[in-house]
Amino acid sequence: MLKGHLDALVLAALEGGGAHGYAIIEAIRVRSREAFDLPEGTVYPALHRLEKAGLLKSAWVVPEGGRKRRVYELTKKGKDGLAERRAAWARFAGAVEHSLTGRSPWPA
Amino acid sequence: MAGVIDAYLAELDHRLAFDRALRDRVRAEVEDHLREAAAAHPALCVDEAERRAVTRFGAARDVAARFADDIVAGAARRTWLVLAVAAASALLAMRLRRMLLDDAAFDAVPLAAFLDRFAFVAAVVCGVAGFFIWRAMERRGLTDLAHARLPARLAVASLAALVLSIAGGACIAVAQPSVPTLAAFLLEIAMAGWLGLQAFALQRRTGAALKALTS
Repeated sequence: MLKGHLDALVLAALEGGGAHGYAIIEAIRVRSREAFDLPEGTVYPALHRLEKAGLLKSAWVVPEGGRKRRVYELTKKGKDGLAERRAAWARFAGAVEHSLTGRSPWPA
Repeated sequence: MAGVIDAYLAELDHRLAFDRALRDRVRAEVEDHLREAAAAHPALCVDEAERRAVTRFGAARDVAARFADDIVAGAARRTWLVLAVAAASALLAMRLRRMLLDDAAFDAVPLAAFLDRFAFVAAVVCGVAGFFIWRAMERRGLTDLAHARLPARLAVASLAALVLSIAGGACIAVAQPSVPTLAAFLLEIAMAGWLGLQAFALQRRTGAALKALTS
């Protein structure tokens, strides 16, 4: 079920600034209140795919006394892509809510 | 004795052998990830902490398969684009021949004239069908190696028909040589060569990925 939304979750996790893969997975876990406990290896193909699509950029960073790691950041296209995915999700979630409960999520 | 993370990285190296640049980058990222994940459990013994980190990461074969699917999907997109450009070039060359040569030129080599026209139609039909099937699969997220077979076969059929059409065009151009018809023929050959190289690269990469994932 998460498969189609993984890209959006990754983009949202990077909204606050650049991060490496492990930190992105942690951010997804924390932001979802531990509801999304992904097999961690699924995130790296998504990061590469999003970078290829121009939504992310990345660079190797060597923190002082630390290991070399690849840090990902949202590009302008990535920020726009996140906004589009959020709007699409809001429409989809609203429609499901209305279909299941009969209550409209939108003000009358 | 190699640690759990070292063994995992060795398997990932093997599974990603189809793309050396990707393998080197992914290996470095995954190693950083696994070492950090293992270090997050200081209370556990090293082997157990590494085993947990590796288990949470997922099987090396599954991780490599996701990368392979993305790479094959990207190569397939390029192949469709090249196929469209090659077909447009063949159409342009065909139109030029029709404009520049009289009917007698085509009547002199009837089989070639037949192939020039109808093999091209077959190439377009196979290409368009393959492209729309692939697009429909892509929309449903089915661009993995297993689902790519039918559109790949249609692309190969389209390429084969296009080569036949170009061969027909070549016979006509050679029978009635002129600078424009030979130029059109060379354009077709160049496009078919480009398409062939692209198809070969896609086939080689797909084959290497399948081999690495199933061995």
